Amino acid sequence: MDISTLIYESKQGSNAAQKCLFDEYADKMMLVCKRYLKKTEDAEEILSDGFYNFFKGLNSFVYKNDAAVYAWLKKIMVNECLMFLRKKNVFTIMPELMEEDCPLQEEALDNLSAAEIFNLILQLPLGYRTVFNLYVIEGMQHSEIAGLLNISEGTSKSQLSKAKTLLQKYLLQNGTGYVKRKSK
Amino acid sequence: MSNEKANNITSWRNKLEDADNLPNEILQDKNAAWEKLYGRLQPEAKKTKPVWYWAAAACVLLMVVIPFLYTKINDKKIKGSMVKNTIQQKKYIQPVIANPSAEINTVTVAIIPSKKESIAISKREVERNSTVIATPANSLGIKATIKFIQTTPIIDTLLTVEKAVQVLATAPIKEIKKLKIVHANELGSPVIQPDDTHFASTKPSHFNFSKQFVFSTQPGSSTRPAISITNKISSQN
Repeated sequence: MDISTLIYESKQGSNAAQKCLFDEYADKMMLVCKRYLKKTEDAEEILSDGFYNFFKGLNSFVYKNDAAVYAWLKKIMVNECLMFLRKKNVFTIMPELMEEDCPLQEEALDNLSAAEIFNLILQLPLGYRTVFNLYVIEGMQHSEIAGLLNISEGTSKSQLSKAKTLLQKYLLQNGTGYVKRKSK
Repeated sequence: MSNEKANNITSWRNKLEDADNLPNEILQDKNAAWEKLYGRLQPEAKKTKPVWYWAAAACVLLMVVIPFLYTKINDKKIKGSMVKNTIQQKKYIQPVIANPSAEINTVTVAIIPSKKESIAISKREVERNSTVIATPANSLGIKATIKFIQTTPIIDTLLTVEKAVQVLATAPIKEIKKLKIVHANELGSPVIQPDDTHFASTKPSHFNFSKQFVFSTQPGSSTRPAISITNKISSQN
């Protein structure tokens, strides 16, 4: 069954169609939640809340294509994660790290696989990780991020810069494998 | 340089969005997560109350509201009808007052001087002292007016006027019952009492009364006695 039919039947109240949609998108959305939240339990809770809001607001959704469904569901999940983090006041306690002289070798990250990048992001502190996710993965501007996280634009920029520096540090700590791959 | 950076960012984004390449420690128990979600979605459907519930609630509400509204509407109707009546009465009474010949609501009071020495009072004073009296028309809520007609230009005092008004106001309006006039001859054999006085108004006659003749005199002769009795039977005329 294609997504459009599942969406239509879900709007009619079909539990089977809703389960199919859940099975289709649950893994992808779990990864999105995991990128923002450290604990798996929190991610699962947010996933449940996100799907609940998705099915509740499905009647107002107009199907265009599969990508639109994915984008809308992802946006719901990201918003749920940010709300969760705001409740926990994560952004007011962002750790300040020492500026390092060596800049991030972005070319090194290009050679990394998706799983490796994902694991590296999970090692970042929550504040850095959120700004990094929003800027790099979601493609938001600093002004938007500042509005969403209730921080200044400068803070958002500095957080992103520090996140990149930290990633560089992790790359160096995890071994020279990455760099070697780059040099090859 | 900036183009290269942008390309790097998009490449990371694409890599991270491709879930197939990501680690498989994603959702531990998908069915359990679905059951949890399904449990949250279901109570919403159960919350919808059946039609009969709303119908019963509406009936109860109507039973409470309708009597309340009915009493209010009745009150308004009564008040409205009262207002209408007064308006109609006003409309009705105006031409009556304008027409002096109408007798229903107009009481004519004749002011008769009781003494020769009298004081002249103006018409305005009379009108000022006039009172509304209770008449049969007043029982319908119509105000009766008193019209004073001065029989003579000079009248006694205001006191006599007031008294005359009061007498007319309190006087019961009754038809005088006329008694049937029965002639003496129609009564048959008369059993006449000695003190019967109707002889005075009749012609002179005679009749027997305990073996005596009784004569009645003609009316109008006040000097002679009305009845004379003779003892002699033989002296009958």
